[in-house]
Amino acid sequence: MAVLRPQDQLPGLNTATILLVGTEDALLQQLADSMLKEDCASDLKVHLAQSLPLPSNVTRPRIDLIVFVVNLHSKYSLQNVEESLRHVDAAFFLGKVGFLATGAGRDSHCSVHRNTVLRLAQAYRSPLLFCDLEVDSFRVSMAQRLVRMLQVCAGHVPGVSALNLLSLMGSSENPSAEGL
Amino acid sequence: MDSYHTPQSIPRRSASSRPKEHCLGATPLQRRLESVRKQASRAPASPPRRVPQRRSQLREDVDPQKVAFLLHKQWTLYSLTPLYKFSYTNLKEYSKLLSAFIAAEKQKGLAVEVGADLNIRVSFSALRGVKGTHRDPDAVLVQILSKSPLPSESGEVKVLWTGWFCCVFGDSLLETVPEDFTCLPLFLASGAETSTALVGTWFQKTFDCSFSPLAINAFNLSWMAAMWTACQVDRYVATTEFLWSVPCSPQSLDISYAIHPEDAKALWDSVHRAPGEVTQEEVDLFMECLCSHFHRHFKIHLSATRLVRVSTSVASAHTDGKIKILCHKYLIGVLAYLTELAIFQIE
Amino acid sequence: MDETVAEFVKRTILKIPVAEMMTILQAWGFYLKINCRRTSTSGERKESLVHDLVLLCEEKRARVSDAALLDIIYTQFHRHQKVWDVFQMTKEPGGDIDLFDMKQFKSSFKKILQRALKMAQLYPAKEAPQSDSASSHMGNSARLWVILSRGPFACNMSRVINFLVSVTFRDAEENAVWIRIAWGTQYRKPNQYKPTYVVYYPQTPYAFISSSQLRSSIPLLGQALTIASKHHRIVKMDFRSRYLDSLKAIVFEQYNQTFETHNATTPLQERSLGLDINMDSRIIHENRIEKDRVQKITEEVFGDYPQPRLEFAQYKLETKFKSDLNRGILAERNEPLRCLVKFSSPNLLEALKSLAPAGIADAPLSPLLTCIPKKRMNYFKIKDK
Repeated sequence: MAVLRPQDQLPGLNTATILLVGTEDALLQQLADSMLKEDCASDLKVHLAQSLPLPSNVTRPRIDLIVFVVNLHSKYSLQNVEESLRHVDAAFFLGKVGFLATGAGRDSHCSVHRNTVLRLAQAYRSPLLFCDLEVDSFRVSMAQRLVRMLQVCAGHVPGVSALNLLSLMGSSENPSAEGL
Repeated sequence: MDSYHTPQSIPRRSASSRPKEHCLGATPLQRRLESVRKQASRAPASPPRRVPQRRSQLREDVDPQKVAFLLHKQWTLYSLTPLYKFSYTNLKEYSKLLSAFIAAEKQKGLAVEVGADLNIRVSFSALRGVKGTHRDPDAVLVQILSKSPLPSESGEVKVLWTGWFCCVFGDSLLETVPEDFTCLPLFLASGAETSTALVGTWFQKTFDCSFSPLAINAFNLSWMAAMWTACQVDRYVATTEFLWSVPCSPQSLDISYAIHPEDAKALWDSVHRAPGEVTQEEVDLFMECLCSHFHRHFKIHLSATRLVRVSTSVASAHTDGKIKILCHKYLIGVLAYLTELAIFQIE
Repeated sequence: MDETVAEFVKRTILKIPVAEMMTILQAWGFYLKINCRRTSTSGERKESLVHDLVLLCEEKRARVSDAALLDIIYTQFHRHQKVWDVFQMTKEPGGDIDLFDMKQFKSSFKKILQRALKMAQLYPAKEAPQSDSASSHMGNSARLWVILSRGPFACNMSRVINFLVSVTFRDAEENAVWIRIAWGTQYRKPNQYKPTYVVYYPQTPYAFISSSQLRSSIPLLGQALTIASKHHRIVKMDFRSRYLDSLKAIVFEQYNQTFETHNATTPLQERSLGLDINMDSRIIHENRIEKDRVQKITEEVFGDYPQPRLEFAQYKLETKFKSDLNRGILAERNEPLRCLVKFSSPNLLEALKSLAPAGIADAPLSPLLTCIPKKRMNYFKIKDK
């Protein structure tokens, strides 16, 4: 199956494209809606996928940022992300991949331990964000944050590259506190 | 199909399956987690040599008859912060004070004389031996008893409410408990919720502590399922049952998945590697095996649903924080794990 | 009126929720007889209403059968409070095609049941033609009939007979007949508070029987039903639910009638397109084709009509553990893994239908689950081939 590569296509003019991957359809849709409501100078495109690889018979713009969404309430969602990660080119991990763990707020529903996702993000040298997407206000601020990250990754922010961003985000001593 | 291979630079192994190697920068949270895991691995599923050692405590000091009433009853779990100036020598005094408090609450606003004749009586006692090490404080039993209002009846007492506080192998987890504090982090109650609330209020006022309901998430339920399946039970009294709640709308769906205990044990033995230690990897694999067997038949991914209850011949636990212990032999082992969860919650 | 009858009337009326009181009472023939002035019960205290009604019933000398009829009406309204088992009857090939006579059915049902019960009590277990444990198969009813009509107890039975059982009938919608049976013994009057209900659709091979703890009576009931409806054999199907109407719809294959018409008018393509209209064009669903496939398969299997209502399905699995996770696990073990899996939901089929679209199950779902309406079963035993 096709491996997703960051430099397959040329960037579209002023276009920034994010790919959200996760089994939680409704949550991804809501997050996408919130992102598109953000005021942003770039033309945003949000691709939603349940899993990777993506269907290969379609033309799509260059993907600037992939965010894997893990629902801590569902082990299946973690397994799905782990499986999908195999279909991502290594070059993406130079700052164009992020993990988002949702559901930590309701601990009694959790089947995935927070440390498990933490280790996953560490293993892939990518930032991990925690956010309960079901809570409107949290989702909106997460959408805001993702839009900023996306703009950086798409090269729309002068002077900051995706790799810069990665080292900035990774520099904090305690990644578990990230986004909490 | 693309002819390119996934580049080697991508770490391939599943991070979740390698807990020990990925010991991250030691934040307090992680250190505690590691310790919980270690503890868990020493709980009931520990090697046969270690289990009797742990149980000996109970055997020396406590007659199984005396703890029999703790078994086969459904308890609601709470975690409790350390008690300030609690003294085992004052239990009689506490009985009187709590009786008076409950009576006063019941007849709101009316002052009640301490020790005055009431229809209810409270008894405090120490449950000796319900602990893991000598450093654990003794468990405390509180009961609300009814006294017959008719003096003619031959003083028959009925237990209206029971609650107990304990700490089993808590010492290794608790950093330092300051002087004047007694740490009994696990509280188990059975009876009317209003009574639990009253007792809770009195404890909070008297010992400056705070209660909170102790829920058990699916992650910990899986651990319990694995550890309890691993136990050597003389006689199986129940099947190994998992209850899953499926988050589908508009109709809810529950799936009960019961496995013959001998078969569950065989599966566990086949998954279990190093004797004496239960690892996260094994627990995950055990659950994955069950889910994959289920998927083969029904094409449903149980891992996408929520585990809400686990029952075995040793004990049964519900995510709401309800527990029933069935096997005397593993009482201490079960309480040890619950103590850990309670400590984890209060810290 | 007998004290026990008064008590029975009272308890039956007390069961009825106030909101339904008038509807149920007016369906009750005896209510007209007591010539009650009330046409509405709103704003009245239930206790006083019940008190008045019981007095009126006493005046008019209500009998057990009157009260039993009221109980049937109540149960018809609250049929979902019982769990219903489905029984299927068969005729021997080449049997005569009889015309069904309701009157004859009722009288022979009652007679046969009384005699069978009498015999079962005179000759318990060993000599009764069918032992309690004999599962659901109750064949040989023709032979039994001969025994019944010729046996030593054919005479002199009528005196005790009324003590053994009380049977009440009520005709219902779609020609169905509701039968209420209260069981007694030689020594005790029938217990009116633990009756068994049978719903029979004449000229069909199906009957629905409310499940009760009196397991031993069910074979007798089966015999009476088989003979009275001129069948030869009755089998209890592995199919039960609270929702009698859904059981009926599945058994008589009435549930998918809407399917054909609806499917013809709106093809799947159009409907899924309709969904996309309000979507932002900047959001691209990568797995659309897969989703459409899942949707399509789900509709093929379940149809797009509301599913008949069942609350559970149970599977006893005795299959060998196989896993693609790790080859070694339980590989040397020959014994199967013994499991009991139970699905429960307020609306099981509807819940199952939603699983694959929600990404919780594969599409298509396992035939073990999708075959429930077709096989008319919700209790299964699964073994390796």
